[in-house]
Amino acid sequence: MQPGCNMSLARSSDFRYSLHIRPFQSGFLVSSPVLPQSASLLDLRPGETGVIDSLDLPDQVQQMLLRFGFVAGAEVRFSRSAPLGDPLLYTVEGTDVALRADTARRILLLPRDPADRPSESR
Amino acid sequence: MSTISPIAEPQSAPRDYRIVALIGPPNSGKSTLFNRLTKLRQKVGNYPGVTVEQHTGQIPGFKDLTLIDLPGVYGLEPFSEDERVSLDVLNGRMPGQARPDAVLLVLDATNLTRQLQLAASVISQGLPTLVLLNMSDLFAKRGGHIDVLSLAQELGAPVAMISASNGTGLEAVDRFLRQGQGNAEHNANLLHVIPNPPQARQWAAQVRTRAGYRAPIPSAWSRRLDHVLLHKYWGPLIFLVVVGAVFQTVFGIGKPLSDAFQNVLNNFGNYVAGALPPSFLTSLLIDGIWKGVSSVLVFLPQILLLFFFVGVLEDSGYLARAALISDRTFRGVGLNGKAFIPLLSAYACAVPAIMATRTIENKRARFATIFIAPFMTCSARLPIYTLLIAAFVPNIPVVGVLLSARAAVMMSLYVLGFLAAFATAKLLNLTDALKASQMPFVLELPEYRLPTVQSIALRLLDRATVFLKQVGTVILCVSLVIFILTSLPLQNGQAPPLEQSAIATLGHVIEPVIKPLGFNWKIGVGLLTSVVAREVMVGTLGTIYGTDPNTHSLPLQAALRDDLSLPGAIALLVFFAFAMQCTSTLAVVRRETNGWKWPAIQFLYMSGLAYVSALVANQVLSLWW
Repeated sequence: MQPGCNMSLARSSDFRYSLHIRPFQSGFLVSSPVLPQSASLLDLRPGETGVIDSLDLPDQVQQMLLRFGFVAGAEVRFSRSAPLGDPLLYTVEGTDVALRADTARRILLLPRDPADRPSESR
Repeated sequence: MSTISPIAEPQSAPRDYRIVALIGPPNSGKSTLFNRLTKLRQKVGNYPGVTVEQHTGQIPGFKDLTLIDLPGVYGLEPFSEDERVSLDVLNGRMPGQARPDAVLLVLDATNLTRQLQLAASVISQGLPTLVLLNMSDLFAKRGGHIDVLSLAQELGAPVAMISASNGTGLEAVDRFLRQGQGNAEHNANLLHVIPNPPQARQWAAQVRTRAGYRAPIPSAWSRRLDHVLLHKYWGPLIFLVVVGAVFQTVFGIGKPLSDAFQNVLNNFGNYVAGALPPSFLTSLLIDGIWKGVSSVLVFLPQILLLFFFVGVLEDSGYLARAALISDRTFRGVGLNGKAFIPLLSAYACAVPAIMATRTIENKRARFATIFIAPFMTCSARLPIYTLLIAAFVPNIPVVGVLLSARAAVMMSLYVLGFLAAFATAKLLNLTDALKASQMPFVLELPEYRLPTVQSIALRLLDRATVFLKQVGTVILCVSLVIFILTSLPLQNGQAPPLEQSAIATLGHVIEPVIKPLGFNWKIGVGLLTSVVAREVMVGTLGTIYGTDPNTHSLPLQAALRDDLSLPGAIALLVFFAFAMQCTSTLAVVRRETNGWKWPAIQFLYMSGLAYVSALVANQVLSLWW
């Protein structure tokens, strides 16, 4: 067991209790006691990398973003935001691409293994 | 999807390539290669029915060969017009354009990771393709590595490393083109890869591994420069300085150049007039055609200067950063940062500015930008502004030496245009007159590069040609028409005095309508002639007042002062700020929006706005003066 794991008690139908241990997942997940939300590109901090899980965007838009490398499985690094906060600059497959926040918000990331994260406290 | 041509029946004898297409993504150095191959033998045209420019050229040493420079595309999906056109040309489906015999595919060696998918799409079109990995010099310098032979095997097409900017590796192109149909037909077995994005990525990754591709280390310079140029405080500051500097230079240097050029043109006209016998034909040639044409040519220095700066900013990579910085501001009125370059160019001339809106993928934002571009104070408004300001505004200082009353009025007119543009954009946004388009704002930031003299020079030549062609033909026709109207009805076989000409009659006809604005029939004649081009106004006024026996000895300014009240003068300035007085612009808008609907709306809106504003200005100010 690693420090920070979630432990929960579940009650099965035959009234036996079992202990479920889930590895620590959140960090940049918006923590909610009931439902864990998926992280998006917007949740990355400067220098952080994430892997794209899916794009919550219309097909045509997805096709366009595919061109720039924004596709499921791609590794994306958040560089910086433009001087006024928006758009945001990402590096994907070696290219620097700028996206607006609304678009970045809809590009969802895979939850990350805590071992990958640079050490810092949230 | 795409179609592959079946393997061709064996030809009786190898034939040279007649038509070769050049294709590649933006920022891959494709244009540099095109320029290097064709030197100055280039032509610009249009594909039928679309707003994509067609660039073709001849390569020295290949007599019968035409090289088509297709637009920069990331893929061959029919989303954007550029990609659709490229696909159609490669498939032979573009009317009026025979199918290319071969393809030169240019990719950025430093960015191969993403661009392999375009390679798959292009190669699977079934045409003999030479894959060129450009920027080999940067690639090698920064530690990139690739096994060219393996890549060629994987792609099923010959591959060569080149550097278009240095001119190295181009023997491969030469060899490929010379071999003609002797090149082996390769089988386009890459078709399965394209429709499925995850599969495409997997394939691309496999190819990369098998070809031993190692991406080069990204340039440290780019990161460092971005740290400053995209800095929270320094970024916008530097941006404003750059924009200010561009303006200062374009008008500070451009204006004197324009004036000098104007003198040259006038002198030439006078010389020719003196050399030819006086006749109707001479008059037609000089007063009609030459005056009209030279009124357009005179703006060339300012336009070229502006394009020079835009070229330097774009080639260096800074323009993308500028679009990034200005995006937030533009977004407030429903545009996006890519409108920055077109709207900046519109300060020289709206015609090339509207053509530059092609980079805006979002249809709605693009239309909005096209719609508001003519509000930016273009060079053609300057002559009438200068004339009226000199005639009506006293030469007194407002802020000491820094700002005179005249300069202040000029600046306010610039601001007025700018505000009108943004207000109109906001209006379009609110009324949602344009159907919302989904395409998001996505901008690739290329690495910073030092622009080369050759690329800038060729770009200027290209832009100048387009401008002259566009504007020249329209203005030519229009000048002729105006000249004819001033020469009819003939009296004893001679042109009538201006007051009795057809155009003066028209001026009298509209006088009741423009009287509330403070204008009389003479100004009315000027407005009629300048509907087609703003710069014509000054010449027309000069002609009217010059031939009027009461005023022909007075300078034009004094004549205007006698004939126009101060409120009327201000109303005239406001009118010119808002009115659509440029048939060239309307022609370009028609072409870029594929129809008459938008130019018509634009014309009516701007004319209405101009009329009402001038009316209000005149009536309100008349209460004081």
